[in-house]
Amino acid sequence: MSTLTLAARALVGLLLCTGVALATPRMSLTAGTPCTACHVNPNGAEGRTEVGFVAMHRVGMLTWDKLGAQAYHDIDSNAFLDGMVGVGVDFRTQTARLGRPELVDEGGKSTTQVPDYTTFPMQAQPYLYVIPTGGLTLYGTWLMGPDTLRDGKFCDPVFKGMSCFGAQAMYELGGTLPNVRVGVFQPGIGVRHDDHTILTRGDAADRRVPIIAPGYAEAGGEVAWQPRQWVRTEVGVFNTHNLDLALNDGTKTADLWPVAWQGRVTLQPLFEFGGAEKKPKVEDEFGDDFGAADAAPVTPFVLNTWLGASGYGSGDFRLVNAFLGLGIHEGLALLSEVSMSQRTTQHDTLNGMVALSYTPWAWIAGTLRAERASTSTDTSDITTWQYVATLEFFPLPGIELRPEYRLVQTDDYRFGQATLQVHLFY
Amino acid sequence: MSHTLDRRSLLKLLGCGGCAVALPTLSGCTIAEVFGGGSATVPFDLAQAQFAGLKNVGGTAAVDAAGRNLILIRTNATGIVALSRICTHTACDMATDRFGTFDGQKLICRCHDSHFAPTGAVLKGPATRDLASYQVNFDAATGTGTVQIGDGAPPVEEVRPTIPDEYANLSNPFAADDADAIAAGEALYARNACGSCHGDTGGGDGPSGMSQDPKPSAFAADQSAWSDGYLFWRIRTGSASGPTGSTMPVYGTRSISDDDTWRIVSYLRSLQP
Repeated sequence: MSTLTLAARALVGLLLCTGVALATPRMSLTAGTPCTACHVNPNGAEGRTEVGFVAMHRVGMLTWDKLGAQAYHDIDSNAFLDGMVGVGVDFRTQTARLGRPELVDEGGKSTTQVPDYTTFPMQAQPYLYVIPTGGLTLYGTWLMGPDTLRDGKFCDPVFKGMSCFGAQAMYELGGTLPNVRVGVFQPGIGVRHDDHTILTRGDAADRRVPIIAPGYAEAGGEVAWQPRQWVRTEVGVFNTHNLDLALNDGTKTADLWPVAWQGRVTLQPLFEFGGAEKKPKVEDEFGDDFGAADAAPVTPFVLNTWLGASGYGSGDFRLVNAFLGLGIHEGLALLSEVSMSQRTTQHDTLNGMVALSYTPWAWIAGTLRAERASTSTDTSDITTWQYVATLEFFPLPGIELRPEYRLVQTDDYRFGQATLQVHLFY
Repeated sequence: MSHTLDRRSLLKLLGCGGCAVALPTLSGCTIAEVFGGGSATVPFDLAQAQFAGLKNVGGTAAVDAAGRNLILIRTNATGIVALSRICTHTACDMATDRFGTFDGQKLICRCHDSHFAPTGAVLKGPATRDLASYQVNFDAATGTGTVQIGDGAPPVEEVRPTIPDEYANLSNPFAADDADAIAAGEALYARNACGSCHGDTGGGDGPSGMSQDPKPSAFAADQSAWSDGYLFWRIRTGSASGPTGSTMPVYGTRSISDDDTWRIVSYLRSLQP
């Protein structure tokens, strides 16, 4: 692969991935594959394309063919009708101690009590995409809540500002012209991580109501323009219904306009060091390439980088994010992000995170992450720290086990616990 | 054959080795520490702005002291209770300016709609653990009081519901030895499945009551603390009528007429030893 091709592939991928979650930003930073190769949503995450389906369907410590299920292993698409309609689903459960430690006074003695472990559904989300004609993609998803599974309630957002569905139409104008998206989707705000507790989007003063909720989405439109491979810009206008719920349905207050503005610029240069093309073949008189066996290519050292910033605001509310990522093909990725929000009624936040990931094989990856969130109000300054050690383990394709150890420290308490996430996806 | 350790192999070695050492160490331990704990006697005065909400029945005030986050609730003219205001489901703060609502009968967590009685008992999930409650000494005449928290704090006294005035002076129209009323009451007790919680013979030991907190009342016991009006009231309005936090359902006049309710009271009285 030429340097130019490699760079182009990685750059496009990285550019497209910074908006929302990737199942893991580490995947993009290390592999350099574009999110749109695997996910229908331009910002990554959620429904998978045919390429994404195959990528996940063949990755696991054990694969289906090794277990004798060759026919299932050979399925190579999640799409029907000649690729026009595709489906997918994510289902997750979490086992954790919900809540926080408390001092309890019983029998005249004070003890620290922690919640019992409980297992609960975390995500049940089907996807559907339709590609009726070239350049146009229609995409929809439904994010169920606990009451959806219990009582059949269609919409049951767990967090203030969470949207129980997403629906968007994406149109590529072609060439170097911008792409256009309209519908209900999450505006491009910093990096969307695959962890709903991430403090960069949270509020140290009110951890139950993140500034940007998991599954946050608004009705609106976005224009994305990528005039060069190393730069991408996005601007958008969105409704503020769910933002209003998140900011004004708690103690936080913000004077919002009916619409919010959004913008993001991402620079993603790729640096390549060393390396050499494969040695020229040495053929004998019969055309046998006897020299190729010991003519191993020298792998170049490729450093993928992200550098970007986004702004999101309405009325007196402003949210600014900046992020930096470094990744190499050997599986190491370093990601950091800073997020700052302000509103006229003093409730300022300054949050940040840094994560180091290592992916020795595609079916297992480890991440260490440190986060800090601080909130200043008229009456208080509150700081929360969170440290997370995560192992993403794929024993079989379509099955992820994610054991974690989380340590949270607030001004009131310190709480560390092991948790387990089980993720089934198609 | 080359034995050179390339970059990828070195990283695998370091990464996997680190995980192998770290994960077993991390996965086994829960760390839980609440800062600023200890004991305290927290005074409050309704004349202070922080506690002004307690001037009215149904009003609340939030207090943070000695590592506890409490909510004080004025339950009646003379009573104030103190509970932890951290919901036992996902730790939402149930201060009324955050995610809590007290509707006069129960404390509601607006995060996921858990309900708690003024005793702290869970009335409705998803929360499954009761809220911690704390001893309150309140003098309604002066509008002052204290909350005791921490080591050495006295146990919380049992909260008894205060019977509303409209029920307080009621008396059973049937005589205590009216055999017909008692027999009819027994039939009504069985027909309405009272025994499923209170036990077939009123021992408070029905199968559905085994897991309840508080336990169903036992009638085959001393009932001297209960007036006729009290029993009538508890049947008529159920758990919503008092701070016991029990799951006693409401048997309104559509379910059981006033006379039949009194017949049940007659039967309950007959169960006393």
